Amino acid sequence: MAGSGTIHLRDESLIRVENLVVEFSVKGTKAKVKAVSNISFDIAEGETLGLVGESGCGKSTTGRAIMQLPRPTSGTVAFNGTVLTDLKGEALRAMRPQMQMIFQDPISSLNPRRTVHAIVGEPLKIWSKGSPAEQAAKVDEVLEAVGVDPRMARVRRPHEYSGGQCQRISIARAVVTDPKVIICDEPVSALDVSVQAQIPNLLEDMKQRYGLTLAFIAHDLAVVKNISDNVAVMYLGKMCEVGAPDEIYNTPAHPYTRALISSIPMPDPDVALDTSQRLVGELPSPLDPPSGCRFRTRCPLAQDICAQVEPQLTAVGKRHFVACHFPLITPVSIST
Amino acid sequence: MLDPTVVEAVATPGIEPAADVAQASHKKKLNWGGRVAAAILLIIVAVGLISPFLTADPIKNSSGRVIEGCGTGSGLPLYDPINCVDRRAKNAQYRGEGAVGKFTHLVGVDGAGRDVFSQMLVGTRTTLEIALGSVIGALLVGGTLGIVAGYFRGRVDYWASLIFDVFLAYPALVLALALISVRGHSVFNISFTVGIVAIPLIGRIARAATLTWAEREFVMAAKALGAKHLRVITREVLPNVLPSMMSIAFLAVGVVIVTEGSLAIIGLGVPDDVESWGKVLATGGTDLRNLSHMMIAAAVTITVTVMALNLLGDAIRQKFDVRESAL
Amino acid sequence: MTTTSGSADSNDPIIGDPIIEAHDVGVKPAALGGDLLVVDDLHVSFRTPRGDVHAVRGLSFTLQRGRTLGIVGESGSGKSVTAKAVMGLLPKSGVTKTGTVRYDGADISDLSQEGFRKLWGTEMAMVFQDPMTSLNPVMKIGKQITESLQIKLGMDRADARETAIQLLNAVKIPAPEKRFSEYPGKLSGGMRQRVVIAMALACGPKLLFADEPTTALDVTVQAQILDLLAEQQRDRFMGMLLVTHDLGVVAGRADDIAVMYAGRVVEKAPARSLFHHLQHHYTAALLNSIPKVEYPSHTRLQAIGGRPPDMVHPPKGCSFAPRCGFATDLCVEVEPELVEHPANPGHYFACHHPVSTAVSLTATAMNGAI
Repeated sequence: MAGSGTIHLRDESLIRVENLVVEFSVKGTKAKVKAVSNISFDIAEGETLGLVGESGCGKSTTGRAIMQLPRPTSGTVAFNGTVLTDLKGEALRAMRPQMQMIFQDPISSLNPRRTVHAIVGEPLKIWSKGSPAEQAAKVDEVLEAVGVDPRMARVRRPHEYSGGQCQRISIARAVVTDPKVIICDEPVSALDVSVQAQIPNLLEDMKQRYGLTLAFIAHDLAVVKNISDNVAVMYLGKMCEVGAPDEIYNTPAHPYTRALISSIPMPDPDVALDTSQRLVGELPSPLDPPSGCRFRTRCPLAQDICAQVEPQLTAVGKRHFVACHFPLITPVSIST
Repeated sequence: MLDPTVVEAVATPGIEPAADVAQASHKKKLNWGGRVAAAILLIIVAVGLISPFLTADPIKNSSGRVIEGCGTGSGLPLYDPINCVDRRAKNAQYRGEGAVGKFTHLVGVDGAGRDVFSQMLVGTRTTLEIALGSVIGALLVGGTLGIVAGYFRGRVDYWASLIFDVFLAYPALVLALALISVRGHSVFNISFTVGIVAIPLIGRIARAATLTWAEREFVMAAKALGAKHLRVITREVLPNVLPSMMSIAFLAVGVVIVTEGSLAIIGLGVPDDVESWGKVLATGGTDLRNLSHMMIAAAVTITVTVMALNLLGDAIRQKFDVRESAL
Repeated sequence: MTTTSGSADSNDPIIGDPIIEAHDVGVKPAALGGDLLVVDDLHVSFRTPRGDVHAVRGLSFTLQRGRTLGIVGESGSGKSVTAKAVMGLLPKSGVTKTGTVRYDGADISDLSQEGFRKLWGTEMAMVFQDPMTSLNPVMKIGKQITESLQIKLGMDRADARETAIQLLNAVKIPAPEKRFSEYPGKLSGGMRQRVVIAMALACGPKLLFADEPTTALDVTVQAQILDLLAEQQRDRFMGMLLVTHDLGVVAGRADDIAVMYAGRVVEKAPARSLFHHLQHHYTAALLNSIPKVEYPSHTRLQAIGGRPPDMVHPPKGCSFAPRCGFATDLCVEVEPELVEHPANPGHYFACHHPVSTAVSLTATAMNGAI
């Protein structure tokens, strides 16, 4: 298997995902949706990993697989040395407060029938952390930290807040248990551009304040670049390219990454619309992904070898890895 | 409610104030039709509760036959089918001196000369007992099954859906026949039978609603927080599923009232010593030439009640629908 | 062209940019031009339990044949309501609409539902935001296109089929003959949006409304769809109204851009002029809030603080004043008029303290010093 490889993994990391495979069976058939096929990555403590790719590339599934919701088909997910994929029942549940999630749809991720204060306080109730008064104080503190008036939150329900504020409330709920890791699953995609910017800013603040490690999943490359220390580009359940954001954006090594970057809409009428790099064709079905390199069906550089051999992640820079037979920059050999 | 000025005062600088307080305090009222329906149903429930005080027993002679004349029995004769204009005659009657005066029956009398309106009043209680008992039972059984099926899916869903399908496929009348012939006529047996009819009705709605709500990300968020299934179901899913379950329960009450009537028509109604709307309906059905007014009285009452139930069910669903009230 | 880019880089509005203007007009043959859609002082309000929501408050714009007007604004700015009002798609009850809408010279502001039905498809068509819900899932793709061809244009089945396949081909759907008899469920979001565009184009409309046509799609697909829309608009010489919340989407694709805020146009200009000589602080804030790829990681993003005003009680003065860092008492009290920029004809803005004043004052001061 390839489009995979573990060469890029570091020794020290808070989250370490190895050879992760997630498949879903299709009702009534024997076919399997190969959502994530053998990917590996790690996140060091205090770092933000950006997972980027088109819809259907498996980035959200990857995020949920870290949370064991649902459990991956195979592969290991380790958190702080504990292998989550081996844990069961109560042992896994006990790990939950340390890992939290923020979802895409700000409205759908909050229970419409409860007050915002109750929603944010729920994690503390589940884990019986402190007396009711202490819990309320903690909720007030995090609500204030995310910029939502705690007094109002006691009487208001989610639909009385705007999308951006709902996303802030989601963030408050995620940080209230003092977690180590937060998986952000497309937290800005459902918001207006003018509001989007608040969320990465707030996440950066929260990261500082609560010492968080983040996985930030999005299809918007500019946002991902802004927030990440490390970026992983995914395509059809595979890892294409991993590396530092500035390196990936300035010198993309994978043709897919280059195409993604060129399709970012530029708010400048003088930047000529570059249609030469534009992706053509459709995302192949994850039920029956192409052989070899999965991107070959849409790749301008594809050769015969791409259909036969799956490329492995190789180093093209100090912290820059690509899985391509014909990378846009020359591979380097690194000594470890 | 918090004082808006206080809230504004405590709002720390830099904190985004949510929309104005007027918006927060705005609660959607029950719509016009819903209010009328609620009023009708309140009256019906009240009648059911106090019916013994509303009716007057007709005066019977020694052989048990109803005799002509005025007369009231025990209790408060708020509705006196026998209208006495003659105070002296009325007083005489209280002393048990036989009947004098003129009958005024709102909707006539039955074959035995008993006041139909009184029967309807007395029957209200039984009908409500059957309707509420069976629907509450069905809510508990069907609702639980449906929510569990929709929440866990897979195998659990398969079996629960199978149970609903079996209940739906099994004809209620056959079930009623079997049960009543074995255990005899009783209000409980009838409630049980019609309750079984309502289980799949409510269960399927509960399942469908749970399927969509359990997909929501806040349910996933609760699981990610480490909440146990029971907590997720009762705290996150149930409050959202309940409104649609309640609105279908109101419909089910209507269905049950009608079912009770149709059971009575084929002789599977309440026991002889109990009155119910279904019984009035059935009695009217036995002699359409002379007693059609009984049938009409019962049918109109049932229709109005069922319509009111549907209206109220709808209004309640609208009132609690979060998205519709969001503006 | 060298002059163009040279003056474009400078932020000096006094010099102006006549070359760009001339160039912009020159692209489209003026003879074929003329006003296709003229909206004058449009007001739309909705009755709600809380009071009337004034969604659109005095909106005017002109769209010429063969040109694209981008309408940009946050959700709740009234941009979608505008498109619906012009197309006659607003519900009759609970809605008050005043102002005039002229389409192709004819007043359509008070047109009946029947009258609009005659216009839909053949004169004006719409592409909606969500391709997942704008197609009927139980009707074959071909049928959804041929239906209007047969009803509106009276084509027979064979002709309609042929035209539909040509349309599917035009919107670059691979194997159109095969897709013709398939159901929409089999298609990806991008492909569905192509089908929706084919449906909109079917009866040869002169005016195309695209209401957030790419918001529900991926970036890569977004680029494809926008290219397709631009191409079709050019080839068919349609007037297009491109409604979006993303300035990046309209930047290279609209001839003119109108920025809406709280039911009003706050700035309206030819695309180049808008970006290079932007006057309104809201437009500036909107532009600054977009994360740029060129910026290094962890650059603090410039979000717009606060939230749009409550449209039940719109503010007395400038509606952006509560969120504007440059607002003064004047802004809170007096509503700014939409005025034309003295040096850039065609560039309108409604701001008491336009962005350029500060810059130009310093520029003049410096010039004087030198």
